[in-house]
Amino acid sequence: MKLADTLTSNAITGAVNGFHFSAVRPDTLGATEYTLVTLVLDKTGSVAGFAPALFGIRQAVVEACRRSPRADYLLLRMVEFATEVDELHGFKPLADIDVAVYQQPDCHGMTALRDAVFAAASASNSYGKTLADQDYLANAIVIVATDGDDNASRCTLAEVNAELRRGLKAEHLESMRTVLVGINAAQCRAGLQAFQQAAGLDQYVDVADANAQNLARLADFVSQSISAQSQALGTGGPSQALTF
Amino acid sequence: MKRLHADSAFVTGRAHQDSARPCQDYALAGAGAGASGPLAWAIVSDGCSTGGHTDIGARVWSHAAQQVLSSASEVPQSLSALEASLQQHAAPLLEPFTTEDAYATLGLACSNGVQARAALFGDGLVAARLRDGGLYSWELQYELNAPRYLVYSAVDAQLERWQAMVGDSLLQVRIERRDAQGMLLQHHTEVLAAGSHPGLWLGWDHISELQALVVCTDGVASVPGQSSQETLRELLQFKNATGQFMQRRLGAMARSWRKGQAQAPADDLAAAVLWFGDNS
Repeated sequence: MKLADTLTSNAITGAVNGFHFSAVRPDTLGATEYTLVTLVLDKTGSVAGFAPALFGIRQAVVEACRRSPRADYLLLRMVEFATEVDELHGFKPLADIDVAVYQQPDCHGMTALRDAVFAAASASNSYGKTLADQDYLANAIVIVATDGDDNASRCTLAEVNAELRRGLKAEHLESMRTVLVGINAAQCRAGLQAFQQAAGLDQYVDVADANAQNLARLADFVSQSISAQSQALGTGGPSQALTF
Repeated sequence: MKRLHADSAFVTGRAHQDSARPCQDYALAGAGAGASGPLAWAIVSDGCSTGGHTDIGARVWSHAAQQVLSSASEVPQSLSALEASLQQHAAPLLEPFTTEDAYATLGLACSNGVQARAALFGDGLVAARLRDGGLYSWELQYELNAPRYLVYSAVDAQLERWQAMVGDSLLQVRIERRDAQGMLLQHHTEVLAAGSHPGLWLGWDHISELQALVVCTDGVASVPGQSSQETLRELLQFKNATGQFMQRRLGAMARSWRKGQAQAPADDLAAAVLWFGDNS
């Protein structure tokens, strides 16, 4: 495992097992504590049919988080995945996020679900360590939404499982809540649930049909889960799982 | 003119946690426009544990100090002038409370980016960190552990009673100079008659060599197995001076105490810092 941090003008970058991330430089952060939020959305070819509604939740989540009493304590990272894992932007304060960058991606490719979960967890763990080393208190929430089971990852299940625990074990993060969301995933629900349990993700949420109403509910659920996890910061544990 | 960063933090000591009593230390930091340029301040106060509701007293004196400094047109010019302003601002704030509620020390540092001042009324510690990492500190300790509280001067009978109590006892000012590695380079203890000294007064007319000014309550001396200087060095290990940097540092220390990785202070501990950045 390799972690390489390099300083750029206002961001640091790092990589774990070849998965890259970026984040705001800690010396530009004023508060004492932060919740690291990662929203990972599937952009494989199979989501193309409901892509506008699916990728619309990003803007809705950012806007809802901006209204949260914990808005000043959130650092949000936006990620997409298909065969590869792509960072749309790294961990940054809500005030610095321009939702105009949230364009609908070209949806194609295979489903590297394990890689996506690993990459999200490892970025949270690594940046959590950076923050902890600079006296910040941090926890994290990772939400991964997909419509299909893995068929393209290079990470093993054991690696994902270990990474989900690494930050807590080393006490870089006070807690990490992880949620796997199945959208339009009736055919692979059992597989996703099995992955959630074997990998050690906290919760599986089934959104059922990918219609506009369900995806709007998903945006609410994601926003509320983020807010709950941020409110749990300082209590020593994670937030309670919310019901979808 | 140096760019100024100010922050403060306080934590409840083990003794007050164990006895379900409130934290009697308090701290404030901030900056104001000032009539002749910006002024930043760092304030700590320690309520007497055998007084009244001295957690309130500590807050009142801190807020009175903040009022004085936020309305000042320049850094204070003398300890007596500062004390007079403090008494004037504290009097209306203390009206609803008893004299015993107001038994509290007060320590402060302030700077306009060119000059700096520090004062201690009662016990506690002031430290100046230099840009080369060296550290000067001034620690006040009353022999009978009976500091001169500011409220004594507001009530004649109180001052006379305190002077009779401390009698010929001594006030020690331990002055130390250490290098960046914490090696003691110089030390000297001034021994004064406790009853005749209102407090400590320090001034810098040019702060170019200063990196930080720190004021702490005497909780800094209450970490088991650790000297005040060791605790002070730990408090000053800022990774950056952005935003709530003192709160982050003391918060990280408090988390290490909870995990049993280090000893927690027996007494409440408050610290406030002025950090002098680059020229603006």
